[in-house]
Amino acid sequence: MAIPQLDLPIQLQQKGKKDLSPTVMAELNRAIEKLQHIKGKDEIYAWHNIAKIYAYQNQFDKAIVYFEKVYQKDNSSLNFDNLILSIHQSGQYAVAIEKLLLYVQEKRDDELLNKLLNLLLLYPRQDDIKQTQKILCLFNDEKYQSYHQRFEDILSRIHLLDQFQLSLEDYCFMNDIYENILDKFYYGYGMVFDCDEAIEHDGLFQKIHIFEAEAEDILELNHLYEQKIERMIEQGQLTIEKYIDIISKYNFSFVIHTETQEEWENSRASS
Amino acid sequence: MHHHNFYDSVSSTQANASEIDFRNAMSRIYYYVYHEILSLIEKYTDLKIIYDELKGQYSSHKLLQNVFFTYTTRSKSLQYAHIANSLKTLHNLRCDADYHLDEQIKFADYNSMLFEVRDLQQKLQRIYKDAFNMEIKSPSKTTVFKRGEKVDNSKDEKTEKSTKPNFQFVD
Repeated sequence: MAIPQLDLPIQLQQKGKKDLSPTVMAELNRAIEKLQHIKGKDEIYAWHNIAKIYAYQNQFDKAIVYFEKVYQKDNSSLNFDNLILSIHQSGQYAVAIEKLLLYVQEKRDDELLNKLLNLLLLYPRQDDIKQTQKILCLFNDEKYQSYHQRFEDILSRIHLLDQFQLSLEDYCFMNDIYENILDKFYYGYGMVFDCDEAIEHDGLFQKIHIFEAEAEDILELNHLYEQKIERMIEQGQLTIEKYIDIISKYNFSFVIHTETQEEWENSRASS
Repeated sequence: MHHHNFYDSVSSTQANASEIDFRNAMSRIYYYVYHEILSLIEKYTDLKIIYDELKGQYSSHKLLQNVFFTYTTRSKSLQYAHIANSLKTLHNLRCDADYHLDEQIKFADYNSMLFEVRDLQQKLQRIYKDAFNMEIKSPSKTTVFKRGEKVDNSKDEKTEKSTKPNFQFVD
């Protein structure tokens, strides 16, 4: 699906830090209004772009509604992928995984299986793991060997959580906080979660590699993270003692690259 | 020797430096931070009392983190937990630089660590005005000038394990 020439704000065609200044928000809202008047054969394009604008504005629940409408009209795997991404960004990772499991099992879609495995590494709940194991039996071809390896990585991660006495719930909780911050801060970003379990770290240490960004973003990302934790404690969703217990076993840092994820992956492959 | 010398010895590290330079710089910068925090603890009685209580129970690095974690629960002020968390992150990055030779360390790792240090510095200065007065400098983001020569540092690389696809909606 090509981006239609509908005077869309330039932000939607770029990657990087979201600009939610009043001027940009007004421009985005004007674009939504224009798109809502489009009918007929361009309707799907209009919904698709409305959804993207809502995602840009961090209104993920509204983005889901429009991606759902697109998918109802055209149930391609690309549209399903967008729907899943918006569900995930809204913080409903369990729902996203459940939908992916059903879809992959039914359609035998290897690209979405790839996405499922990525999510499971961050949210490795037992029932989902069991179901994925069954699904993987449908992908026995040699070209899917890396998928089986990644499934083993997920099992190893669960083992590590046991080793460091970090509950699955706390592990998922922290990953969700970080993903949520990144989704609200960047638009269309590349990301690699790289978890290190060395004994020197005295727990799990997750480095999140971000691409096409600037290192000073770390100051804002850390600030957003701290604000979020403070809010959760104020609202009684977390206690100080519980928070200290989690971060003394599992903490994060950002590594910010100015290059693209593709460039980084190519250089990794060649080294 | 003053602990500032740790930072001074690597503060001129440029974006086009070698991997070993980045590793050394990350390690020295961590120890600069370590001693900065240690001298801060010595200066403030509330922190020093906890330090003395916990001494001998933990490694020197974990001890520093735990002084701030403990002070968080005593003061019920989360800002000390954020300081402890930053210290833990910096220690983890230093361990990567010193122990994990199978993983490449590049400019992005070093530069990101500098911003983590700057972040810790800001957190500390909000509470302790006299803390951490050293200016932490990051090399230029896109180009650096060394010995009168313009150097392109855009070929920043990194080798890692698990990948995640772009978080971008598909058109």
